[in-house]
Amino acid sequence: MAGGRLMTLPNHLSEAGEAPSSPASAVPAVPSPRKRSRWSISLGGILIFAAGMMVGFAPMRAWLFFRDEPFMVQTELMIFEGRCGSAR
Amino acid sequence: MLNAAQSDSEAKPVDLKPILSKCGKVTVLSEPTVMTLVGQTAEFRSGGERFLPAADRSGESPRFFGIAASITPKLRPSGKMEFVYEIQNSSIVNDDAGEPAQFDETVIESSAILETGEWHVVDMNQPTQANVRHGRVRILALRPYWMMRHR
Repeated sequence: MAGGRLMTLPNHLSEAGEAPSSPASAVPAVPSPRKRSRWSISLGGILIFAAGMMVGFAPMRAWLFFRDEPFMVQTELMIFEGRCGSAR
Repeated sequence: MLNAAQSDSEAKPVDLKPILSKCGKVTVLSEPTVMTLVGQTAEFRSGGERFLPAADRSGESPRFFGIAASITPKLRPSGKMEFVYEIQNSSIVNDDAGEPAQFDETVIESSAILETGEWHVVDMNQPTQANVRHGRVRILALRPYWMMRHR
């Protein structure tokens, strides 16, 4: 190999230099990205969106709660005397 | 005894009508209304003060007799309102001239979870000397109304 070009054999060729048996196998085998189901992507998106909503809306819900909390309390008292079925 | 809720943190509100029907003729001593903020304490006092000799004989100190109620509404995480109250019912037992007055005192500290507009009855049926003497008992009922903040 000295002075020559550095060459690598394609994967589909054997070390003996056999030609590919079919034209289709001449296409280099490039690993294709793993295909995911469209449904799984949608489900993940929905979950992420729901989690974001819960985290993001918690302060708003708290603010709404405290904004509308009962503020003033008016208490009627009634003090009375009687025997009221007491044994005494 | 009355079937009144007292000394119970999960006390349920009571309707006043059956209690009043048991009592027969009752004397309403007072019907005050107090208003307070959530988390703040409202106090009501009805009675008087009697000056008693101080323990160290340095003079006289006033002592309250009558009914004193302090109510603190609190907001629970569930959204319900909890009323923490302390009611003091004291009266003078002997009122003889020339002798220092003796007091008969009952203090009830409790709390109740109430809805708006519902009565809670505190039965002060304690075996006190004053109750035995008069044969009558004092009862305090409270009914809260809470209002939203106006904007």
